[in-house]
Order: sequence, then structure tokens, then C-alpha cells
Amino acid sequence: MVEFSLVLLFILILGLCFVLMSLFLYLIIKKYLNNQTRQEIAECKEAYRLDMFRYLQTGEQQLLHVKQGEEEFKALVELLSEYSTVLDGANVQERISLFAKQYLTSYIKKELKQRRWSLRMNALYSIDVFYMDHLRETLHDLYKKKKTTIAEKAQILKLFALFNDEQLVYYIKEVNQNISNFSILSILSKIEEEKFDELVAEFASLSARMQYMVIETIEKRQLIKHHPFLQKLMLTEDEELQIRSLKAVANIGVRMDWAPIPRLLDSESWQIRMMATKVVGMQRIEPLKGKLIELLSDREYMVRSEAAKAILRFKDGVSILTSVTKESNDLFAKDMAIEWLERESGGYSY
Amino acid sequence: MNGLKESLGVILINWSDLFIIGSWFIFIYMVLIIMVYGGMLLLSLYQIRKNYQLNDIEPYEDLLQSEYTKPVSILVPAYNESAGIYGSIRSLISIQYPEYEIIIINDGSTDDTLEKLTSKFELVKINRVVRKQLEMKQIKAIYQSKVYPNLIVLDKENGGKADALNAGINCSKYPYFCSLDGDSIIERNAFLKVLKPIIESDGDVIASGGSVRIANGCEIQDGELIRTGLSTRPLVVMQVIEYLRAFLTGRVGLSQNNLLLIVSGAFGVFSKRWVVEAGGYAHTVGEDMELVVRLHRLVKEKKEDKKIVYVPDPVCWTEAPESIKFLRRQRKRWHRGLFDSLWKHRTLMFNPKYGSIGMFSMPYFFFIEFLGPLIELIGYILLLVSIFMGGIYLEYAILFFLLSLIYGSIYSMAAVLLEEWSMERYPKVKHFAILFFVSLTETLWYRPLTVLWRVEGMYEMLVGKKGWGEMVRKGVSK
Repeated sequence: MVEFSLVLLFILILGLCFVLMSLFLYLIIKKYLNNQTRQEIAECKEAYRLDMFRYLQTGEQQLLHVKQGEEEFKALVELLSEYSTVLDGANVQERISLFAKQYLTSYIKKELKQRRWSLRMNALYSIDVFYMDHLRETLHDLYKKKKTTIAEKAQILKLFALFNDEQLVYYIKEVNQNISNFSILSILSKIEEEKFDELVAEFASLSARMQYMVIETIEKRQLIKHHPFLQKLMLTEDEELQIRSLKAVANIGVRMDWAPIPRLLDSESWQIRMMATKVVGMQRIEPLKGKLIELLSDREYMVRSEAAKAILRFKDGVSILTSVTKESNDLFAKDMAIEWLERESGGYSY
Repeated sequence: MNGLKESLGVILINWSDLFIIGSWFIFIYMVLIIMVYGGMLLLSLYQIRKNYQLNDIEPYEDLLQSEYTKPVSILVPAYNESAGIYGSIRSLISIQYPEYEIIIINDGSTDDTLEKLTSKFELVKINRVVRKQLEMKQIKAIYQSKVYPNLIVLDKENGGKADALNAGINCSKYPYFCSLDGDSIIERNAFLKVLKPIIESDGDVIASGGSVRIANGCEIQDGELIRTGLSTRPLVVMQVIEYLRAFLTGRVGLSQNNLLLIVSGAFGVFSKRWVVEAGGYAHTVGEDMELVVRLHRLVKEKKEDKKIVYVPDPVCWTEAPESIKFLRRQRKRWHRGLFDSLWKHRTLMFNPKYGSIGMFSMPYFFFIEFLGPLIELIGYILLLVSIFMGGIYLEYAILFFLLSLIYGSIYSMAAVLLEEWSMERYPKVKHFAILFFVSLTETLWYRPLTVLWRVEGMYEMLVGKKGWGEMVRKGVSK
């Protein structure tokens, strides 16, 4: 038994060693060759560097003689990416794009079909950096393919946002559930305003998640023209929409009709009360100051804290809170006032 | 007289039986481990290769520019780190991340750590309200740098690493924090890489850890890694291989299935809300692992779908001990830490309520990572005994040796190959060859040594030895 397993094991180990050694030989040869290629690419980059610089500055292409070869293409992609981060100006960016379109199109197209995910992603990044908007058709085909991964799709949508593509709104409405909120927000932050308006116009037909993203984008991009829309949303039935639109209104800071606010300050939901409190503070709505003092005794910690913070935004905020610490009978209100006065006086110095 | 002979004979026969049964037990155990490791290696293969040669800048551009990227508080506990502290803080000041603060917690150092920081970074005393969400020792003073306003130094009474980290959490103002050893060097885009999964998961990932590599032999200037290199000392090269193996083959596989129980203390990012809810760091030897186990536990108890992930990209470089003496101390400590965490959360073991963590991770860490060395040591003893006994026992010796060759050398060689195939962090052909051939020798000297030290750690735990065991640092930065 032992002898038998010994022989078996011995064979197994010999086999494993053989496999590992062959892999080692393969990798070490590959590494050697790769290092050589890297060297060639580096030399190639140096050879092009000056002429490329001149071209990007002047637009004269005569000096640039581009050879067709894998290393050449790689060197050019790297060189152009480097220049696009270093050199600024619309002219330079346009020339980079022009050059890439002329010489790198077939190379990038080939890279988009690579089997390895990372290489396809790199190609997508290059399209972004070089603004190769003439590849739109290829990208549409790629987006519709079943095998395309989520990360690639998100990147393609970003490109469509950059190129202001007609189909973008349609794609976003139907977007894959697995694309993260972060990706959607960064796509929406790049989208042209008129395209975004289309999305807002179709708000009701969007998924709940997309609705939240749209509200957040209005807030982050400070799209004042959609302010009346937010005010309407504040009064809908949907609690989550109410909370989010209140938050956006608070952070946009455009003056508004505060008539509906008192009702929201009495809402059943503490999140709505908190956000409405925030709005009162951010907009410094004088007539509702008294209400804020009442909210210092709210049963929810977060509302009390927000109320104290809101009071401090008023000119006489400190004196109001000071008088609360002296006169109020409510311990919660007192504690909160003390805490915020402390933060105001020393606390965070940056 | 005859009776005595007979009974001696009986005893001899029993010994022999015992030897054979014991050997088989150990063989089966080793085969099992070889299969588990092999499985994890295979799981890693696909995942790691996917990112090979991915552009190093573009994927992170969005994170760098977006307003939605979450700010991070970086916590650096320091206890007598005078030699290395300036370099590592320098590496933090130049990191690429949109918004962050650095909080150094001087945990009652007895050397000139605080003085050094004060003079190098022009610290001034400030008043900052600390929200005491976690228990901690008294804070003596809070300083802010005049040169870098996002650099804060907490000076507190000594309370150990866990206590220092808790104080840092209390003082931090951002929703995510990163714990960092005072002696490690961070790559400039480390935070972008490690936070990417957190940000892109919309909060579903509550902790994320990066790979740690060994800095000895690399060229480091002012806290920045200039060139990756390899130490000339076999002991250090062996540790490089060990790290490769642990990070590349083990954790990627575990992370894929949300089974990760360790986010290295040297570099990990956590959601503050979850850590505070879990009660912060506990005062134990292996506080980093213990916290992760507790987070998993909390997630399962709250029945939420949160993940702890691991990013295979090497992002953090740390100084490895160069002498046997300090390496031995480190390993003994690690092993005690492992046990502490497992013991504290023993109720999770084989508890179906905790899902795969209870049914796989905990048993894996206990039976394979913790008990492994003990069983291996018995194996080595049997090996020696059977060599002396000769005859049929010699075959057992060979069998054991061959198995441990797979378990040690072969897997390490595979890890080196995996690194080359997927990461290529050692650019020189020579370094790759050295790594490969040194890994071949693992079973012959390094593995038995670490086994011995870890068993020693187990022994010290039994007799109840506490404390840290200091490491003298010479500092990795020039």
C-alpha cells in the first residue's frame, strides 16, 4: 500500500515539477522577450517624441513618418496619452484626436476584440483619452453584445455621454441593474444638459433607482432650472423621493416658496423632518426659526442635531442656542445646544 | 523474566502500530490540505489574470475627479517608530486621492517620535472635539500640521495598538478609515485601487484590503517606491515568496466567495459605521483579524448582504525582519493572534447560522492554519524517527517528505509563477529566476523553521505568555 502510494506520489511530483519547470521556462523566455519589446517601445517613443511634440504644437505632420507595427502602435498610444495629460488646450486635444483617428483606428478596433478583458478595457480608455468619436458604431455593436461585461458597458456609456450620443437616453432608461450607482452618477455628470433634460422629462417612466440618480445629479450639477421640478417632488406621496428632493433643494440653495415646509416639519417620517429642517437652515427662512427651536426637542437624535446646526446658520444662532442652554426645560434640547455651541467655538479648525 | 520480555514485545508492537496509524493520519491530513490549497490556487488563477496589463491610471481617473468618491481618514498608530515614521508619513502626503486626512496616533511612545513629527511637520496644538464612540485611553493633546492642514497628530496615553486605532476612529471625520502600520510604504494610487470596490459597490463592500509586499531590497526615497528589487538574503527572499503565496493564492480565492477572515493590518480600508457598530478594535494580539471576524459576524447577525473583499494589486510595502530572532518573534505573535481571534469567536465554528463563515472559513483557519504546524511538526518528528529506524519505515519517511514537498515547495513555486503570469512586479529576469529557485528550497529549511516557531507560539499561549515582542526597525526609506 505504502509502496504503491509512494510510486504514485513520486510520479505525481515528477509530473508537477515538469509542469512547473516548463511553465517557468515559458515565462522566463516570455519575460526576456517582453523586456526586449518594452525596450523597443521605449526607443520608439523616444524616436517619435520630438516630432510628435512639434506636430501637436503646430499641426504640421510632414515630419512624422509612422511605421506600421505592433510596437509602433503601442509606443504611439503611450506617447499620445502622456502628451494629452501634459499638454493642454483645445488645439492640442484636437490634433491628438485627429492623429489617433488617422493612424490608430484599426489598432484600437483590433484591441477591442481581444480575448483578455484588461486589453479591451485599455482600448476603451484610449478611445476616451483620444476622443475617437468616429468609433461610435463599433461601440454600439459592442454595447449590444451579450458577452460584454458590466465594466465595459459602463465605460461605453461614459463614452456615449462624452460624445453626446443620440441613443444614450434610451440606453440609460434600460440600463443593466448591475451597473453601480457610482457609474451611473458619473455618466450623468458628463451628459450634455439637453440630453439630461430629456431624461427629466421622462422622469415618471424611469426606475426608482434611476429617479434617485436624476435627483442627485440635479443637486450635484446645481441645475437651477429644474428647481421647480424638485419642489413638486417634495410634495409627492413617495417618501424616498420627498427626502431626496428636499436634500437637493437644501444643497442647491435657490430661494423658494417656503409655504409647504411647515407641513413637512411635522411629518411622521423623521428623515423628512430632518431634511426639511436642513432646508430651513440652508435657506435661512426667518419665520420658521421658532419651529427650529421646537425641533431641538424632537424625539429623533438626528433631527435635533440638524435643528441645532440649522439654528447656527442664522445670524443670531449662537445667542438662540445659548438661551436654550439656560432656559429650556428639555434636557435633550439643552444637550444638543451645548454640543453644537462647543463645535462652533473650537472644534474643527479645518 | 520471560513475562517481562513478552510485555516489552507487546509494548514494541504497540509502538509500531501507533507509528503507522499516526503516519496515516498525518498523510490524510496533508493530502486534504494539499487539495484545499490547490483548489484555492485554481480559484485565483482566472481572477488575477483578468487584470494583467490593465492600464494603471485610466480606471481610476473617474474616482479621482468625481465628487462621489468617499473621503478617507488614514490612521497611523505609532509606538516608538522614530526610525521609520517620517518616510511613511511622507508617502502618505503624496498619495493620489481627492480628499483625505492623516491621523497619526502617538501611543505614548517613549522615544522621540512626537518630537520628530513636531519638527518635521511643524505641528501646532489645536482644539478638536472628539466624538467618543469607542472606548479609549486619555488623549493628551491634538496637533495639526502647519504645512499640511490635513495632517493631525493625536498624543495619547499608551494603550496598545487597538486602543490607538479606536482613538483614531473617534477623532476621524470621514465615513471610511484606513488602518496603516507606521513602517509601511504606500504606493501613490493605493487608496484609489483599494477604495474602488467600495465606491463602486454603492456601500455593499464594507471593508477592503490590499496586497502587502516586502520592501527590503527595494529602492525607496522619501517614502516613495522608486524601483522594485529583491534582497540578497535568502531569509528575506523566502518571506517575499511566502507573502506572494499567502496573498495571491489564498486571499483571492477566499475573497471571491466572501470568506475572507483577514484584512491585513498593514493596509485595509473599513467603513467606519460598521466598525463602530461592531465595537471597534479589541485589545488582542491579532486585532486586525479579530475585527474582520467580528464584522462578518455582525453582517450575518443583521442578515445583511455586505462583503469584505481583497484587491490583489500590490499597494503596500512593508519592512520584513531580516534576522531569525525577530522573524521568530513575529511568527510566534501571529500564531497567538490567530488563535485569539478564533477562540473569541468559537461559537461561530460549524454554526450554520453564520453560513459559509461558520461552515468553511472558521474551520479552515482552525484546522488548517492553526493546527497545521502542530501536525506538520509531528510529521517532521516521524520523519526523523523513521530515518533512524530504517527498513520499511524509510518508505514512510520518503512519503512524508514528498507530500511536504508539494505542500511547501511546489505550491510556492506555483505562487511565484502566478505572480509572474499576472502581475510582473519584479521586472528583472534575474529576480524572477531567483524567486523561483529559492522557492524550490522551501521545504528543506524555511518551512520547518516556521512550523517550529508557530508551535512555539502555541506552547507559549498554553503557558500564558503575553505581550508583544518588539522589532527593532532600521527604517526602509532613505
